[in-house]
Amino acid sequence: MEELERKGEDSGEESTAAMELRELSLSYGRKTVLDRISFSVPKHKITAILGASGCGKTTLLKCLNGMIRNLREARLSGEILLNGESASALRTEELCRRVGLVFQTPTPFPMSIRKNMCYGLRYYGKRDRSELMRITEEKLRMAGLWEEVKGELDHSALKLSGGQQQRLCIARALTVEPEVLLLDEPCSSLDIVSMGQIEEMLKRCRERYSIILVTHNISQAKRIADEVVFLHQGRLLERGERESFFAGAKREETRAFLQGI
Amino acid sequence: MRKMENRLFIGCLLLLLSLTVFLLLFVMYFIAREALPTFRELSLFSFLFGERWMPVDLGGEKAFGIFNFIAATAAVSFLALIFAALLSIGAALCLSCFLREELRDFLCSVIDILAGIPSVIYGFIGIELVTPLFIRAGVHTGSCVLAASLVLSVMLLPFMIASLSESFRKLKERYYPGAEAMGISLSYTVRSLILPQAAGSILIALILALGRAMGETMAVMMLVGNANLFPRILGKAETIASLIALEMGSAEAGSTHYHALFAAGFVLLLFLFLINFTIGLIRSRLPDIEEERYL
Repeated sequence: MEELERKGEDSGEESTAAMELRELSLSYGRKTVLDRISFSVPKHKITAILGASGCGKTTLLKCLNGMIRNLREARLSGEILLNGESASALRTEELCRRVGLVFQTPTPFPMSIRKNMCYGLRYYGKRDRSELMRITEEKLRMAGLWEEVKGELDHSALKLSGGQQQRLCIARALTVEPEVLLLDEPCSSLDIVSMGQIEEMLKRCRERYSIILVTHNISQAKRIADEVVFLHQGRLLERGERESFFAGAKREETRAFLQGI
Repeated sequence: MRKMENRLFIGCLLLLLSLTVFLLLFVMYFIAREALPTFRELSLFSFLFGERWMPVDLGGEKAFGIFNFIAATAAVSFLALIFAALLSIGAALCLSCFLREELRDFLCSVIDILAGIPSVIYGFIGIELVTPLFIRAGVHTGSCVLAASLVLSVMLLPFMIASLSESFRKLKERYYPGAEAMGISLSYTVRSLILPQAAGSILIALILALGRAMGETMAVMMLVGNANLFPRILGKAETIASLIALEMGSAEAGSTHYHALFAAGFVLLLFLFLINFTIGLIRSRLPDIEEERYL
């Protein structure tokens, strides 16, 4: 249980990067999906990964939280550091807990909002009701969902709207106190209002968590990203801080992508 | 022109559909018509709850009570269902959640082959493998309710495993990624999420299997001993299906015996209808697995 209490900022004080990728490659059989990707994810910032469909963005996220290890055909090489610690030394479940992942489509469990929020906590041994309630409220507030659902915590999560479901999933991912939060195009199935709410919440969450946001929505990256990484056909083509990235893209492919060609 | 074609096509489909429905109704009607004359000679109560079955006059009085047969049908089916439920839930969970895909596909096709084995072969296997065990355990001739239900449960497995592993696999695909992303183990997810969610599917699979079990004739007949006794686990008994199969050939057409056998068949049919009706009721009450997640 101790590890759940530990916040991102407490562990590995010496490293400034929440995550660091060194020459990360991944292949399925003969097909290379990711090709020697290296970059670091700064703490308490939103790093946006941009790129066209099929450039390996989702696969990269699954490498970062270790879920890729459950695919037997996948060959992973290179190194991932999580707060200075080598990820390969961690068990998959431990890595998954410390690096949260929110999927493209909302995946609420078929149970009440309260049980959704407590599911992970119970697994990690938290039983105390008031403690469970405190964390539920805290994370739902962070997700900007508390005011909307506080009166109906025992209603089914499946009855929520798509945007609310996605915010619930983000809040649920935060209950197990990940150090890094990965989001895989979290707004692609949502309307503009829900998208705005999620962007606001991500900006708030960056005070506590380091965030990696995969998106193919350029304007979203312009609105909320601190750092931008551009992937093209499995390779990292360009990266930089938001202003410099959007102001002066150097590579032909990057400019073509940004102009929507 | 196109319109005509469409109408013709739909007309043909409707004709085929009504033919099917008509055939079903005809079967019902025919059985009911042949069953009804039974009750000119005896009361419904003495038919359903009588324990004596003496279809031909051998010095004593004729009697047509099928109570023991009904009880045996229920006993054999329910026992088989209990064994099959335990085995199939475990096997289906293992297949759908814990095995590699290639191994799963291979085992599923093996299980499908099990479904294709004719029931008389299961009866043989029962006589060869199961009855000797019971003889050694002290049961005369080895035929008994337990032997029949053991073999019957194996016959129910393929269907139950196939339908349950399909539901489990769907649930796993839908909910496990969310749990996995929090570092939660698969076995915990199975216990706390997949199994409880599958309760409805499990219940439906069980009831469907019960219907099959009650109607199964050959294998049960070969193993149950066929004696008009109240069913005891290690005792002989006779199910409705085996009663009909055994006596139909020798019953004189038009006799009370003949009509009584039809009436017994009608009772079995009613049980099966009741089962199907229950399934419909449960399906409409339970949230469907396919239910849309988004409003």
